Amino acid sequence: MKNYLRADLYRIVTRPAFWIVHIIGIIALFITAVLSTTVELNNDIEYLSNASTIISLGIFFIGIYYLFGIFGNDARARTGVMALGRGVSRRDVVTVHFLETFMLVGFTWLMLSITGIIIGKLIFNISGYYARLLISHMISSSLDTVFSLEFSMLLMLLGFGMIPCFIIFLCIQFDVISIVFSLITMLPPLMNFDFDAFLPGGITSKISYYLSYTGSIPIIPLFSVLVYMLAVFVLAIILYKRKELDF
Amino acid sequence: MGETVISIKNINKNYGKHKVLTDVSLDIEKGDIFGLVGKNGAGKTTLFKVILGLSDYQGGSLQIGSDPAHPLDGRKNIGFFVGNNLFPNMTGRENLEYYRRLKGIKDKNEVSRVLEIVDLANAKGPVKSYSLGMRQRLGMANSIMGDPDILILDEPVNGLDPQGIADIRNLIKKMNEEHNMTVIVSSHILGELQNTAHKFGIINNGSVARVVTDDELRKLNSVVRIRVDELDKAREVLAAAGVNVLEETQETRSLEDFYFDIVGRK
Repeated sequence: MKNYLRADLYRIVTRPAFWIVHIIGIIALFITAVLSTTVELNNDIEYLSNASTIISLGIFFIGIYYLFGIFGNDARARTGVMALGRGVSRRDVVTVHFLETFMLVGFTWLMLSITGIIIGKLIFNISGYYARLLISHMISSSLDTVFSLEFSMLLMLLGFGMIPCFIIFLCIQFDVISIVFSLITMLPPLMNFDFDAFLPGGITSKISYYLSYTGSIPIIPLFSVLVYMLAVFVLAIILYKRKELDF
Repeated sequence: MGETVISIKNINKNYGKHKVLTDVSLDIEKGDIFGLVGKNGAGKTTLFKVILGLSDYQGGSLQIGSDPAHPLDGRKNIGFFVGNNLFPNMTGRENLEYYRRLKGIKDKNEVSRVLEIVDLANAKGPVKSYSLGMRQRLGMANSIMGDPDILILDEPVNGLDPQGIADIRNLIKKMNEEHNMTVIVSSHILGELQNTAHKFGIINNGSVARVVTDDELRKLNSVVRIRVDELDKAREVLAAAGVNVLEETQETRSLEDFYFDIVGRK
């Protein structure tokens, strides 16, 4: 498994496109900062607001690059099949893909959040509180992208094409599941039931809220996130083990 | 008899109610070039998938390598040809570097070595710009990287021109003769398979109908054609009649004739 993970990470980080998408994100943050300086009052809050938007969009678009440019290429080249043929177990093939999701989104989060805070400190001298707001917002966006990629990857491992994977990615990113459940809560017996508290989008928003406004670590929402991710991971292992694979 | 490197005993494979492999038993010996012959849907690719662990099976046993305590450990020493397992936007060398790392091959010269063998050392540009023949050769290079003990090739010459077919055939023979690789190759092109392999397994409707060596094939049902001065005497008893044999031509039945004797022509 280590060889497979190392080979894949090396492939990913040596592609120019990987660095180009991150550089674009960093440039977008700089542009945001420059534009924010033109606002006369509270330009630090202006920067914070714009930077949060840019970072959320950045993680979203970089997530799309990961889906198509990295995992999509991986599916086309059937590297999982090659790894299996070399004695890597099916569980390890799934583990490598899920680990990569965390590592890649984590890297993106690190790059953009560090850049965002450095720019904020240097140009606007943002306070620790504002820095925390920025970081917590980014954590929420990153977790949403991890969820989206995990679910998409589950479909990819089962042999679905890129279109269904992308649709699932977008549905989770844009909280379509929450919208569907909100329609269900229009039915009388379920009118006061808060489904959002149990859905990924709602949980990550709660994490962001707690980190931003209370400074405390939200144990239960974080635990819920881990449970969700573990559930998808275990489901992927179970389904992939049974899957008939082709050359 | 040589050492058995793959032993398949009474393996069955079903997709729901549809039986794809029925009671398949086959022993592949070290140093063989074993040709697997069968029509589309006969079960050749399914058998390869079972050997490689891409498909499970019901009943029977599979031993790869010589350690019965760890019957599937030998899988790590199998190289296999999969037509499209390449990253199209990476060069041939970059693709092989990726697989070198995946396979845990530490020798950094290994990629150059196999590219030389398949005559792609000077190939430039991304794989998507390669011809079919070049991509097949690159796939072969990937399969022989690390000097595996066993090579599994599923229809490696499909879609190739005569030169491409000859290149792949020569490469298979070279790997077998110079590197002592055991090769299992499937093909629809019976004449080409006959030029490549020394042992053949006919698979029909999910079962192994017959296994035959090229020596046995040559000896089976050979046709002798004799040109004589007196045809009438030759018709009686050839030797006792003292017929003056003017010309004798010996014909060996081809693999294609033998195959259709087993499975029947449509």
